[in-house]
Amino acid sequence: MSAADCKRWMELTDQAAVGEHLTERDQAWLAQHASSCGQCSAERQFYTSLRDALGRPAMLVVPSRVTAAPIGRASSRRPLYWGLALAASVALALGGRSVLRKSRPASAPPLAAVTAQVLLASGEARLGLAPAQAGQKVPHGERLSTGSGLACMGIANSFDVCLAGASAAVFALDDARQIVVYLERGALMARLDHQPAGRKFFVRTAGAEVQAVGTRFSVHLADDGNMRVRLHEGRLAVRAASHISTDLAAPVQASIARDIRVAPLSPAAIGEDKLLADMVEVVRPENRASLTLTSTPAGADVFLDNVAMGKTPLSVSLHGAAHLRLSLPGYEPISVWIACEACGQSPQPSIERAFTLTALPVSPPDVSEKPSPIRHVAAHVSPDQLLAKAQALRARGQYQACAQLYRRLWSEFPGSEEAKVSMISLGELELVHAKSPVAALEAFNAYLRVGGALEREARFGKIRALRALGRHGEAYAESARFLRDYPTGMQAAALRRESYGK
Amino acid sequence: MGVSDRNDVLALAGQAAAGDPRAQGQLVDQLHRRVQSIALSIIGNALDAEDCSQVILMEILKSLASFRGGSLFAWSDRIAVRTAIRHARQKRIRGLRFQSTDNLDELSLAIDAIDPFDRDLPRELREYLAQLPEARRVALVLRHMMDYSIEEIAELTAVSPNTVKDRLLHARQQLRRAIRRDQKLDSSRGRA
Repeated sequence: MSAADCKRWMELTDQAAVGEHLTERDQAWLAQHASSCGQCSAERQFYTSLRDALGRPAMLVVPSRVTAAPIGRASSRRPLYWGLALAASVALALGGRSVLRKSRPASAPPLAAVTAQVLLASGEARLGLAPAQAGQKVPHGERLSTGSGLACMGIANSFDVCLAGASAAVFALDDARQIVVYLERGALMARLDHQPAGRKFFVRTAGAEVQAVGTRFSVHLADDGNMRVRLHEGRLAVRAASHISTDLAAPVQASIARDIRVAPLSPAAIGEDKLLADMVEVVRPENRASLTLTSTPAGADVFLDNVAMGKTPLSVSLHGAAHLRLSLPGYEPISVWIACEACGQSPQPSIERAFTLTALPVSPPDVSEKPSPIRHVAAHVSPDQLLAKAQALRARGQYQACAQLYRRLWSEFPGSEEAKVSMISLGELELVHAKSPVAALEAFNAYLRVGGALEREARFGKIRALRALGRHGEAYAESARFLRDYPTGMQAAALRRESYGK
Repeated sequence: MGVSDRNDVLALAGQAAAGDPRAQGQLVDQLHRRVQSIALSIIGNALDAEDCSQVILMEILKSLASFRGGSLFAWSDRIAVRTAIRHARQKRIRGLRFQSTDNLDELSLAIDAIDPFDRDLPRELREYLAQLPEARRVALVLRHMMDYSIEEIAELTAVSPNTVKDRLLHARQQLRRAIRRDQKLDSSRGRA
């Protein structure tokens, strides 16, 4: 079989695909060639399979390994599920009163007495379709998802898994000795104590698998479906869908696609995992009580023992007393100790705390007390004139004078668009030219407190400032939120490149 | 009652359009797998496709009054394709990115336990589809799965026929490279 024959086969099939007529002789030759050429046969098979897939959706989705055993039983429920749900809903909808609602077939019963429990749920964290709460039991086959929040679950009192924002994972028992977390999207951090003999713990994605023994590691599922593993402690065995496998010993990171690439664990990777790594250490399995926190307004950052745990409303399993800090830009932070006198008692005690945050007056960033070289700028100038002047100074490289004008704009015209824009410019200037990430962060935060059309730029600047300050955990969390809110664009591409080397 | 008979189909559609829950259930039962396949192949991830499948079935049931006979599948396919393309476009506009790895076990639960693997292909069908950009995937699916003509695809996707041809040829070339590369990898592994 010559390359020329294959080339002709490709050309003819492409012609047919775009609607050009083929002679009977050509068609016969195509069939004959494909029957004797493996490569062309595989390509033809693809199109045959694609045609067959109409009406066979299983060919177009990953088969659920979670539910592989009971799938026959589930399928027998399917016509009833669809028929009843749709018929009932559509009957209502045709009357203009309702829309279809998603429902979910019941999960398969647990295969063994291993249990899982929600340890932390913040923001939009959900267990199945309902909001997740610390202390809730996670049924076999159930999905824990985070949305804009964070979540952790503890399994069998011996390993804890924390999910980053925009992540989803399913807890399952493949058999009595195999405990599996299927990472469907996003990233997770796992901390695993030594397991009883014979018990195995896996994290799986559609294309790869990690088996851990006495280990602390994170797994990231990239948009391209590839898995990235960062092993901080212990050992792992990783296996790609192509059946290539290897053992890893900490500290290393590995990228798993068709093959497995291993590299030393970089400081940047450690920093990016810090948020989840700290969190997974805080949600210890023993002596727990369920703490539910709410704040007015909602969305305050919650720190337990100085570890960021997500935003309010939040529920977390607590062990013993903990220091709690609530922080929301523009509001007075709250710092209290939460006592847990009943921790460890059965049933698990519940603690509910509601906080009201006090708003701070919007204050401008510090105005330098140094003598200003731009005193000649008249006090009665308009904000657009001040901004133009600042831009001119910047163009001439007079960054210090320019920064002072930006600050003056903010203090003299606090509500103006020019003042708001000046905070973005000031942040960039402080970050890039003055090498002062603290001042840059202050400027970006000032903009974010009032909000505006340049919020994306302000948030991107804030992430860079946090990184420059070495606050990698916060930067990682901000990056995750940024990518969720602005998944496309230059900044998102830059963040992904920096985070994953993509 | 099957839907092969023209009169039966018309009668069933009429009853469903009039709000008969039993007729609607029968119709949904006839169409839902096909609709799922179309939504999955065009949208590319199970999570959105599930939502879209329900919207499509709603659209079909609401449009039944305009069904004038002929092939029920052909008629419903066009509604499904239009709705799925619109759904994918809305997702894109809202900035939600296509995630080829998204998977819902609900959907897997709701389908028969048929063998999803094609032994003659180095990888699963959906993995190859997931590699393609949305526009090319839609063109390929409409042409090779739905068997639409270039002109029909152009009308459905609101682009010129030449653009459809261009997308289709690029999709085919991309798939060809992937399939051949995977075959080589498999054969070299086999030798090792």
